[in-house]
Amino acid sequence: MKLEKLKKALNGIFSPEEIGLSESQENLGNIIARLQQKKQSIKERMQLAGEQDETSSAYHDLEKEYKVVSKLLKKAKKQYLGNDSAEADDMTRNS
Amino acid sequence: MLKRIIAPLIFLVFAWFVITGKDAKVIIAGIAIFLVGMHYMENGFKMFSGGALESVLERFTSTTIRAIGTGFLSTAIVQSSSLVSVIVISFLSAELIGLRQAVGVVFGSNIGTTTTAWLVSSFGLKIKIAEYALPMLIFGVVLQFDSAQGRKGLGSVLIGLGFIFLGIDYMKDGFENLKQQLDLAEYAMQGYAGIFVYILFGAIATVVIQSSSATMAIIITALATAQIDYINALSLAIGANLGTTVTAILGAMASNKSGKRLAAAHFIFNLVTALVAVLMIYQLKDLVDWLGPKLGIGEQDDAMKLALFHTIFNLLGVLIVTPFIGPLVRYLETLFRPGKDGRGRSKYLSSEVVEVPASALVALRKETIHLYDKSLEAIVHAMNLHRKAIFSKTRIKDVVAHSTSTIHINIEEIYQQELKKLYSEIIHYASLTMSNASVDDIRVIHELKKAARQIIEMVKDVRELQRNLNRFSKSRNKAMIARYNDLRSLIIIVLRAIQDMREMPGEQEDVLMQIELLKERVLESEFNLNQEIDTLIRNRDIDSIMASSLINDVGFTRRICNKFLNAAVILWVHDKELKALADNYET
Repeated sequence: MKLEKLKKALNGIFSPEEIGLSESQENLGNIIARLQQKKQSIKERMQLAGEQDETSSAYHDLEKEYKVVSKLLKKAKKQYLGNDSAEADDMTRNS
Repeated sequence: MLKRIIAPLIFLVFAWFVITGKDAKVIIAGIAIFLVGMHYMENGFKMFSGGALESVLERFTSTTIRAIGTGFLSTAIVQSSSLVSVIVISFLSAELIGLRQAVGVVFGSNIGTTTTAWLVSSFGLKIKIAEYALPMLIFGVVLQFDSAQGRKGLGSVLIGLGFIFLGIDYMKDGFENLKQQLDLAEYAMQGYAGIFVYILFGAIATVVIQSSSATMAIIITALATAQIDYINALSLAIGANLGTTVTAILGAMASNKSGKRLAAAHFIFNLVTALVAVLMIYQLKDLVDWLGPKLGIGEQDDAMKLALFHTIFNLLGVLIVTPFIGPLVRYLETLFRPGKDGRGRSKYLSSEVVEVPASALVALRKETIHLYDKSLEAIVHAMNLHRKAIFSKTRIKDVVAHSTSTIHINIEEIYQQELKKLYSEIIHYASLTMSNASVDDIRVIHELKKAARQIIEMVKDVRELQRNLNRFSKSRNKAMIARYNDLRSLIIIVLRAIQDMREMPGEQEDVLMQIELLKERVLESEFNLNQEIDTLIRNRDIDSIMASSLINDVGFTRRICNKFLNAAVILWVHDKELKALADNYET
């Protein structure tokens, strides 16, 4: 474990670009996971609010939040996978 | 006069001395090589550490003791108190650390700088270091050709060490040869007269060479070759400590208030330390004689004993001055205060800050936030609103209803006199910072420049809005008054939300979602207001001139709100991957 840390630190000095790139991908992966969680939670709250009254302002607010989180998630996936792969991913999901 | 006649004269005398004096030439060449080595090592550590030194100095200075320890260790490792003090002044200017911590680091750095004496007296004199110098220089030069900053930096450190070793070797040879013709030890002076004369020599030598480490190297090599008397060498070491303060003061003259305060702290510390060392020089000598053998230093090894003396008296200085660090800092804070007319003057940016990329970025961000706050004040006043009311718990409807009186401010004058100057400084320092920034840092600088531009554009937009607002809020047309109040309400909604994010930043994803939701809301409001304007025209509640002004101002308000939100993404969403997901991030 210590050896791994040392390797990473040395890589940071000698190949900082590679380290930066992999960290960026890792961070994007985490962002996607957190946004997905949020999207799911908003969806559940929307369902609950919709069961009571689909014309309520609370429902509409959640709907807006859902749209925003979906948009952010789509962008994050595009960046994570590269544009083409993200579109392919979307198509697979839609089909 | 001095520059035109005396300086060239001194240079000519010096040149004659160097050319004709065979052994003096070798000693002076040794000093020059040593200084080149110090320069390479300092630059190499800057590149090699890749911000690690900055990170250590920022993180491990929370208490005075930790600050002293960090100052000691970092100076001992990089062998350059000037590099450490450049970083500390830069951090202090950017308010990354407080004056108390900075003073602690300077105290520690003074002890750290004594390690040079240990290196010279142990490795420098006991082993044939010139043999190690040449391979170091070869590998150092090879690494210099590498494109990676880290390896290039390592190369510079090796070249630096190689030159330092070579310099010491030259000095040693020079003093040994000189001894055969001229015995400087014959000029040794005993008693307190000798102590004061040699302190003066040490101080002058350090001021001329601009490096106490180089002076110490000369003293140690001269002592090792028996060219100077031991007690005189101790006095020279005290003088070197004082001389370095003069160098720091001269450097601080053109510096900002942080640099001046730190130089004052350094001066007070070194003066107290020198006084104590002079008063107790014989007791300290006895202490070294007693402690030396316990540390494995031979009784005849004057060079190592001098290194021990140098460390002990600096350590003593820290022990004496540290208990008074609180009052010292309070006193220093009363010095070098800026004048009252600070309009348009940057709070965080200065040439000292720009020297260290880590603090330059922080200072640029803080200055952009400063510009944001100043512009926000101007914008809300132009909208006849007060910040206190905007950021209170009062309902937005009530805030707008109660803010009816005109606030007479000349937004054009504020823009020209204050905000434009501040913006220009941000752009100026951003460009300077870019010259030694990494690719990642350059991206951040571009972002901050973009945020500053958006902020300044908001102020330009509000100039138009203010004119119509003041014109129509005094009209009798209730429809127009109501619509302008809607525009003011929208701005309050956006500003309140941004303020909440600043004060209680939650998860970064939530902050970004909030901003994106607000952007949607602004767009929706613009659409609704334009629809309402159509209805008002149809119902003849407003005429076409009123309508065109209102349509323009709805557009201005949307632009102002969006720019506030775009700037907020750059300034308060810290995750770089996350902020890239925001709308209009690239524009």
